[in-house]
Amino acid sequence: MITLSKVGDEMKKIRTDIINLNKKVDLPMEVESFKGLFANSHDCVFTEVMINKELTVHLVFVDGLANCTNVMDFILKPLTTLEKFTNIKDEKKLIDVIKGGSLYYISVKETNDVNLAVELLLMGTAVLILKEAKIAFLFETRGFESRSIQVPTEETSLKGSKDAFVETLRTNTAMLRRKMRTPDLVIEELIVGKVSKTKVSVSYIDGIANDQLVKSLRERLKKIETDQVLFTTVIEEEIIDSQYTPFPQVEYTEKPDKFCSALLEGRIGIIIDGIPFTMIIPTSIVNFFQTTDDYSHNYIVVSIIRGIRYLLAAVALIVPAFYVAITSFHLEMIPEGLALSVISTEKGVPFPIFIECILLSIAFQTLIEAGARIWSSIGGMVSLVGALIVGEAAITANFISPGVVVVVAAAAIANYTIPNKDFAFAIWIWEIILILLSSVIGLYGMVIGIILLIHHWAQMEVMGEPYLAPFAATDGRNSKDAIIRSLFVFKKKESLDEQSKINE
Amino acid sequence: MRRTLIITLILFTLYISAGLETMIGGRKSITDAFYVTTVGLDKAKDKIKLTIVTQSLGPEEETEYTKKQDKYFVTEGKTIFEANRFFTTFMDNKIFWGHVDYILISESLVKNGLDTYLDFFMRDHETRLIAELFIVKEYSAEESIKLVIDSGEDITNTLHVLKEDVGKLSVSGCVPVYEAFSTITDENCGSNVPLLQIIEDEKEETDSTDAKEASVAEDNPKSKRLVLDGYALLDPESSELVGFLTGNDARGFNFAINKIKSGVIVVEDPEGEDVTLEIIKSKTKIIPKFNGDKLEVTFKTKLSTNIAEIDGSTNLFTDENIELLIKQQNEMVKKEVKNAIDFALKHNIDIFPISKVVERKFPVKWDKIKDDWRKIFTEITFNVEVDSQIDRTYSIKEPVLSREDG
Amino acid sequence: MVKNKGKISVRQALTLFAILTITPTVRFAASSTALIAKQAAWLVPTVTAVFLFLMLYILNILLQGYKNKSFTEMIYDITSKFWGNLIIFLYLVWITILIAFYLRFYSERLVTSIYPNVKIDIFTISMLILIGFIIRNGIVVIARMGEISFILISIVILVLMIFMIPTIKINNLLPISYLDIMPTLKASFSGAALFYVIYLFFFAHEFTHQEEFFKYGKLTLLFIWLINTVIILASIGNLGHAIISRSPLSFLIAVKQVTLLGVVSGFESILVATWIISDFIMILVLTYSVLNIIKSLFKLSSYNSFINIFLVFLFFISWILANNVFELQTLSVDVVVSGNIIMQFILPIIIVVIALIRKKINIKTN
Repeated sequence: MITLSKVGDEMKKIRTDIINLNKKVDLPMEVESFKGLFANSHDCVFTEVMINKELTVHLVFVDGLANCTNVMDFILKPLTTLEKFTNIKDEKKLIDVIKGGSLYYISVKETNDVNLAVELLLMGTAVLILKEAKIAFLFETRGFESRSIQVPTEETSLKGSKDAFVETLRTNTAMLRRKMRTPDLVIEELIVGKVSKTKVSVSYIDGIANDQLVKSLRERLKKIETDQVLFTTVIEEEIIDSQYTPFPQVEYTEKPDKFCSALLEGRIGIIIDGIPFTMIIPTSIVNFFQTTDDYSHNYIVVSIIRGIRYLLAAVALIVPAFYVAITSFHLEMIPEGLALSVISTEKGVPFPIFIECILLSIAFQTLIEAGARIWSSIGGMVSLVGALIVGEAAITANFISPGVVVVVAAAAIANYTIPNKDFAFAIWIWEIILILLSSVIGLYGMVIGIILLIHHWAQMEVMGEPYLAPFAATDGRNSKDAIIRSLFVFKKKESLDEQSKINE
Repeated sequence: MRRTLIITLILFTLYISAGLETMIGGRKSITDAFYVTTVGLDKAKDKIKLTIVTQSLGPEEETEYTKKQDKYFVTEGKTIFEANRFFTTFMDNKIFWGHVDYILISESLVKNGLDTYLDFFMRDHETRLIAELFIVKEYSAEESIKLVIDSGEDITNTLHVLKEDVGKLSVSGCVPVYEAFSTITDENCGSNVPLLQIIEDEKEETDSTDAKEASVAEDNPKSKRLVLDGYALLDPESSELVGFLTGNDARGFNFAINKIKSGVIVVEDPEGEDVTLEIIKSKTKIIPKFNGDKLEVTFKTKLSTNIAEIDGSTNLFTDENIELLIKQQNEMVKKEVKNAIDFALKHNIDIFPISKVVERKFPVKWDKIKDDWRKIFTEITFNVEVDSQIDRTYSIKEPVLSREDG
Repeated sequence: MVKNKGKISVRQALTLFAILTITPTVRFAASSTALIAKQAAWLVPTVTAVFLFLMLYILNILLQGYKNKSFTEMIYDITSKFWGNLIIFLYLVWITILIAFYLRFYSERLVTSIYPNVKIDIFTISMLILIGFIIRNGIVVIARMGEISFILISIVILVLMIFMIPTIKINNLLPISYLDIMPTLKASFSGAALFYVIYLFFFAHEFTHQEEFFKYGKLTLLFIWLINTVIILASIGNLGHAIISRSPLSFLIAVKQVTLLGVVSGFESILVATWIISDFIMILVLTYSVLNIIKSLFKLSSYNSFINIFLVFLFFISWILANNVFELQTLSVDVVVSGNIIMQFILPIIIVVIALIRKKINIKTN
């Protein structure tokens, strides 16, 4: 016991060394090293395999990561039953026989580096350790439980493909390959995260994607210093340029078709192992107003709907602030009939209109947050209670005037139509800022807020691409698909022309 | 840096809610505002009497739909602005001028010129130039406002209905502030302002039709009512009140200035029974012509009417009969237009304004004669030409009184 | 990836120019032209456009002759050191006065139109703070903001025009005869003051695609001509030249009368919003020009340290300029218009002519 704990202490130190400095351990290739490293982990299986009386080898694998049937059928069974092995007297011979392919496994690697062995072990590899030769054979026995491909939950599509990315990187890349059978589809892989050692894949189409962009992204990913990549923001916040912004700069999708079409536009996709959402960069403001369904519906309908989306985003952003401005500063700008109804609803309400607006706006956000956090079994309560409180009781109790409810609700509903929810939240934040500014000095404050917002967007760049493209800074290039979706036939021709232009 | 930013933001927000209002000012709460919808201007000795009508809401929470109710307030002041400020001494709400729809001015005030009173409405940043002007004949603006409000009606709404229906008879018109202003500033053309009259009902039947009626308290046999009828004409230079055109003369004026929307012409059939014609379309062209230095102006009116009522029993739909009706109709319109012209010549004001037409047609010549326009105007030879037709009638063709054998 | 980092295309620069003209157009185009040309005022922009076309042609020669050089460098190259310094100093003083003038006018306009009870300093100071904050980001961000503002402003003016067209009275716009030629020409001088395009040349070294200057210049010219004509048409056509020439805020008054279906009104709020944006862009761009002049005149490596000083300086000048708004209007008519003609029209032409004589550049446009 004492020795084991001592070993454990030493190992703990070494482990911290590994984590902190990413230092390579200097341990001999023997089973004790592994036992030390995985002293307290019960899922690590150490098996002593007696091939014959003279020869014993050790097999190490992680239960759950490695496929046990494979380990038994293709490693343990041949080693112990095949005559080829049972007759072997020394390890040298054994090495030769294994190298000769007698263990029928495709992917066999020979190494004396413990670091590599540990790394692969944690990916599901079985390690066969030869005590005297101090080398190990690594067998690709990976096979863990994973979720099967399912229908996308967040991005529903009426006519598009119904498959969605899953947590397993390899499944995801396979999905890409199935959709685009071209050698030009490059899927690079990097390992990010000191502790988690997560695989991050960068995919792009060679010849369409900008080489500079790919290079710069690769460099940014390599520079990431983090312990884990369990969440997308770990990567996102490292590769974006503007940190101080509520607006999203990376587009997320769980749909391989959207991902592939982005690649065809010359953009770059990032898939993180363990996260079923993939990232697409660079992005600009138009990407957050497009949905995949846009390309499976009639182009006239889609163009109109897209236009309405922009309009609604503007409504969500401006209308409450505008209402505050005209009701508390610019009474001459309200039409007479409307003014009278505003006055009649406003009578007896104790708060100034801008306080009402902000309170109500926060209340709507509260409902969303509550709806997202509450257990699904009682989720229905949120809308019931929320509607009762916000809609009925507050008005009857003269806490909030119906006029403000109408305005803020209109803005909130308009906000929900923005396809990208991150963008919608950012718009909501700016909505509050605009309300505050216009409560100070009316329309002027609101316009100052709008100028600040335009400035905020104008100075944002994603991987060197202006955020406002194609509305600004692109000299009108690429603007064809911004609001109006043209017919596919024309689009295809254009996109090829453009790409050749970009590559020039 | 980030922390400072956040703290600054929080402090800024607190600052706003605490008391930036006093520093910036200019904030007015909508609930405190009284929307002035109608304004009355009267003369009170050497001061101006200002009457404002506000549309506020009825008693709170009485019904689900709050009822609009008019209130009026009166002050006096040396100028309109001063009188306006005096309201603040006794009213509990702020007066807001942004929605003034109608401005009533009493006859006595306009006697000294209208231009001085328009300035306030042009200059003030809240008022709109589309407010309509009316001149009240004989009575004061205050009285007319009182009359309507005391009978339980809504003055603004009443005026609105009067204005909307003015085209039914075409005996008056509507003149927004900006239009009045541009004619007043023009030294050569006289301005016209629609005229509001208060008519006392003495007997049961009156000449006026329903459209003219504003409000009648039913059980009071000697009730007064507000009627929009005719124009007040102002002098080109001083904008003083010169005279009134009312009834059919005003319609003649409307014919001349091409503002007829509809109207009624009553003519006689061969047997002397009344035939009522409804004006459907009317278009007048003022054609100036120079004969040497002499100006000749022709009013060319094109008119089409429908037969709306036949009181007699003659079948009118023969060529001769129609011709007869047309002839009478032409004469009638001609007479009306001539009356308007006579009025203009009598007072020597160019009310149509012919000066504008001449300017448009002969810009070069106009440049030379514009300074003597008032003299030239009196020397103009006027011709009136009416070319009318009767288009159709409505659901029945034969008169009701016609016998089968007739 | 943006290829030319820190630079803007000529198209973006001309977009800024288009916005620069919107502020004075909305402010005084209708009233100043109506004062002189009366009902024929809507013809004035056409005359002005001819001058502007000439101006753009001349500037194009200059720009093609000196690629990637700022106007200050061009002046130094064309004239001698002494004269160059003098001319640049003149421009420095003039643009500074112009900014102060617009800054003051912008605040006065807000106070007279929609904020009668608010202290005027608040608008001046908040604008300067905003500019001080944004100008540090450089011309690229300014140009992008300009593009977005351009879209917004164009849409607003277009929509307002559509609302105003039904109420235009043709009689207010006629007659047109040869008697109107002289007044129209005379009125076009006030329009000729709008050639702010020369001030953009102070950062011409930050332009790319300079060969496209004339092509986009013509488009900008078309836009400016259209906006000017349409604004004057709508203002005078609706209210007549008598009211428009008397009103310092002619277009606002015209827009104030717009009602949609007799119910919806209050569109001036939208107009005021675009005013503020266009004023902001104008002051921002002119300040940027001045900072560039200061940079090259005093041979500084960066003007960042100058921004705050200059803005405070501007604040005081804007108050020294005039005691009240009447003086400001007199200044606008008497000094600014003629000064603008000299600085924006005559002086650049002289410079180009000298350059041609000295064979620094030659007429060869593509």
